[in-house]
Amino acid sequence: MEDREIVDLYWAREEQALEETQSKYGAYCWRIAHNILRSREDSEECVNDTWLRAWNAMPPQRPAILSSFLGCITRNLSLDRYKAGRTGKRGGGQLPLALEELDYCLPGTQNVEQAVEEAELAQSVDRFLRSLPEKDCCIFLRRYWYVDSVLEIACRYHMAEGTVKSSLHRTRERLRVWLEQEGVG
Amino acid sequence: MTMEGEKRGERLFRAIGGVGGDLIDMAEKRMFRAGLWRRWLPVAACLALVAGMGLLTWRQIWSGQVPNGRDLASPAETAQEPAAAPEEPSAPASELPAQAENGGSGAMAAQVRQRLTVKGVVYYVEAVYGQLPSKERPGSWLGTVSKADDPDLVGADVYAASDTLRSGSRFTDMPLLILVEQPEGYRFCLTYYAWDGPLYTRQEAENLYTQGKWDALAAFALADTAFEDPDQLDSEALLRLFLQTLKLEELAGRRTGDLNRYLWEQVDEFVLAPSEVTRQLDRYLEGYTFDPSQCAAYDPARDALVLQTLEPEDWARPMARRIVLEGDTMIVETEDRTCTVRLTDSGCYYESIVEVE
Repeated sequence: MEDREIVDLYWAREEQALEETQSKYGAYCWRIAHNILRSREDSEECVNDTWLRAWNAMPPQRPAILSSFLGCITRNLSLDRYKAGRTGKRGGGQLPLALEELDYCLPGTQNVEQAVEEAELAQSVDRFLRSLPEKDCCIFLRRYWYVDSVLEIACRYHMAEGTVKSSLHRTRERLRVWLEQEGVG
Repeated sequence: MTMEGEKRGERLFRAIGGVGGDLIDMAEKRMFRAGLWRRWLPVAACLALVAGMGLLTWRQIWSGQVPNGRDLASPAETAQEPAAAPEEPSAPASELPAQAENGGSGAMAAQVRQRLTVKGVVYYVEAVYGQLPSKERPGSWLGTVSKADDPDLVGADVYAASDTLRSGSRFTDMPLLILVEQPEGYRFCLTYYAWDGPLYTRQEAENLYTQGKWDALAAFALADTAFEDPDQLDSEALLRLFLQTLKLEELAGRRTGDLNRYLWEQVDEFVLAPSEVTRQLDRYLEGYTFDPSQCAAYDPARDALVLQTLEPEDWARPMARRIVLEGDTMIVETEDRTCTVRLTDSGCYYESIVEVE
């Protein structure tokens, strides 16, 4: 079923919307959750919570790209759950590494109380990513949106690990400069 | 990472979540053309063809004969090959699929479970067979196969499948490329998650110590485990230790054809042969006694440990506070444990983990 049709089901408050969403995007959302949580049970719960959030969000929302809309919900729920259950968690998968890598990109602020609105920061990052070559943009998002490991990215895009790491390093550096110039941080 | 840095990283991580959906969609769907030599390693395409294909022995492919249709060995069967005699390769464990007559694009492949010995290290691998049309050698030479379940692999050269894989390094989850030379080019088998040696060799442990990579060495100091002698550990404790040290990707035979999914995502339970547990424990301990029948998860009908999850109970990742290297002994101290590790030429093994007040 096309995304548009699934969204129409949500708007019509048809429960079939949930079945279609699960069928089409269940594995996709589960993978996003699992990359962050590294727990089968927690990932399943996040995915179930995603469907509930989606049900409550549509209407009024009518996302053009349902996959990223759902994936974003799952991602945020997973991050919240990860933070809540962080103490004592085994390993933590790729997320702690990804956060550590990103730490460098956001300029250290001399005034820690001065916060930039998250939306403004997101828009700045969005503009930055659109300025990148497609490949670098995809690699960056696979790493920091999907929380794929470097290996998984290398295999997905038929690259050497070193190439992926170099791309990420270059992009992070460019992002840091970009955010400094935009006055973010 | 400092707490302030942690906040910055998380803020940026959340902000990245707000980028346009079209970019997210592109990152999911966009594929990039492989480099020249990588086009001949069509991993995802090859693995996707495994289901529904017939099987051939390696020898029959070599000689161009017709398959005889033996079944692929189950993980339990394969894992129960004698662990007591790891130096003696058994008969070939599995069959291969029919080789396509496609001019050598390397499209035909199957997963085959093998044990290989390269430079004294036993690798337990999932191998995918295909054919390379060129004689390009993509990575550094790692050695030759001295022993293998499949005797036709003995003497084959082993290369890194990635130019980032340094010669001699065992710690990679990138594929190894095993090339068997033929006049028209190389037949290759691509291995995944080749692991079956000790956690660290003596030299590796000493190098990590010298380089100050204490977090890696802290892997010795497992939380939630304490013993003065490995023989003190009961089988439940050993199973718990197994889960704590296990990397899910290392569990042989659990990959599907889709590199972004793993077979264990699709199963409702994990059936582990006792030998899979002891193979992992052998990397850390000597002189222990594991009796799977003493574990609650043991299923006598299948002679296996049946688990609903491979995630152990929550435990904290230890941080090394002090490490001392004295001759053949390494002492790793964390906040609440002192771990004594014996360094040998064949590996590094726990001697004791003692809780401190």
